[in-house]
Amino acid sequence: MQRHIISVKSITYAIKGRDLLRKKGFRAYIERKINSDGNTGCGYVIIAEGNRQKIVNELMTFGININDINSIA
Amino acid sequence: MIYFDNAATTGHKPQSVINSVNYALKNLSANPGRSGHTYSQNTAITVYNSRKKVSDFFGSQGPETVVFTNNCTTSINYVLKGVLSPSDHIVVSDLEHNAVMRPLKAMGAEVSVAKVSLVDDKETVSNFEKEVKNNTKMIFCTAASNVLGKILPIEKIGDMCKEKGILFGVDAAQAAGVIPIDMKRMNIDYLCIAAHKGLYCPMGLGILIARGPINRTIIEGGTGTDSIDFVQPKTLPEMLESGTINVPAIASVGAGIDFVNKYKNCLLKYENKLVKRLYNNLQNSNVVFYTNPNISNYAPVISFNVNNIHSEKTVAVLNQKGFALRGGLHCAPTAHKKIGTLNIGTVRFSPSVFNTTREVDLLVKELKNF
Repeated sequence: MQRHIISVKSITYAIKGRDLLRKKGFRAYIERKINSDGNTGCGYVIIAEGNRQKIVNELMTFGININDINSIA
Repeated sequence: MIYFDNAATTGHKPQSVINSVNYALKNLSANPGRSGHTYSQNTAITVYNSRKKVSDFFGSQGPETVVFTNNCTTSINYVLKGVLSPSDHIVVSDLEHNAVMRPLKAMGAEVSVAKVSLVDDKETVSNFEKEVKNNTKMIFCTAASNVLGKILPIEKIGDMCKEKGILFGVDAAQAAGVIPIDMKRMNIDYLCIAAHKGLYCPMGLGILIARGPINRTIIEGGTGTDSIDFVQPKTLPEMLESGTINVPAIASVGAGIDFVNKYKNCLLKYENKLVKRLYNNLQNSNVVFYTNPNISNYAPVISFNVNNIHSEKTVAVLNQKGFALRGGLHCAPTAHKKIGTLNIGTVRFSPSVFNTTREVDLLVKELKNF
């Protein structure tokens, strides 16, 4: 199953996104951003498993802006 | 000491609130939103759950609209200074606290003051409407006066703001947890709360719920996010939460709201019963009241004076007798100008659900013999 590392604006949005995805049946949890890219610095990510587009749609529907998303097969 | 100064802060906290604070001090003393370790994340989740509870309770649109501040004054400053520009006009009521009037003075804002009728809410709404001009950006008013207890018709004022496309901010220091507030239904864009009053949390916690935009902050600093950038993040709530937040107090918000929810229809009724008992039992005495709690809508706050003695002198004597009440201007000179008590202030009686009728009767007896 595809795994996605979704960078969001803050810990608040990370927890909100995690809870929304879990409600929709996705496996999701939050982590501190490990690979800081040198552009944004510290932050939090949602790690989610499942269909990328569906996950993105769910998050966007509830106003969770995604900074960046990296998918790992 | 019999405590009747609950409008300043609720003097007795429910055991569930105390337990939550204790739990947080023992188990959640890790900085939320800063680290990745489990201890920090557990704390962050508790803070998030408190945001959610507050958002649901006050009818906002999500946890991200809930900002934890130091107190209600800070929340009000964030709204006024974060939203208004120099060319904007604002309408306030003639019952405002200095938490509203001083920031507006410091900003040099163009301010109009609408008169609140103590008996006719339609007249109050009409008075606000009359003050609206082409450049009016916001109406900001108290939900309940901290001097007179008068509850303003915020739902009707909110309707008018929506109709005219004006932002609506409310100082709910005396009202949150005391009267029902639904931001969506009442068209409130900004709600400023003193969590240590009607929500029974510890002092040092205010809340701002922002359904409307906040353009800028007044304090910049670390937020645990976007840390490479020297520019303050624009996303709420972190935009307004630089530095470490008051986790033990925030962790108790849920217990405070549960307490209010459990007794929601009884709290105001009981507290107003105590106010009316004081008022009714001191008729035809040397005590002068400035409002009649038997008519119109009042929060459980009432002002009085005894024999035209300065209010600070009266409360000093009462303190000697074991009663805690507040005298002076209560940081709201506009309200005292309205009732003609700028020179001696008023004695403020503000009971809570933890007071008894016997305690009120003891105060009545003391005042009759003053």
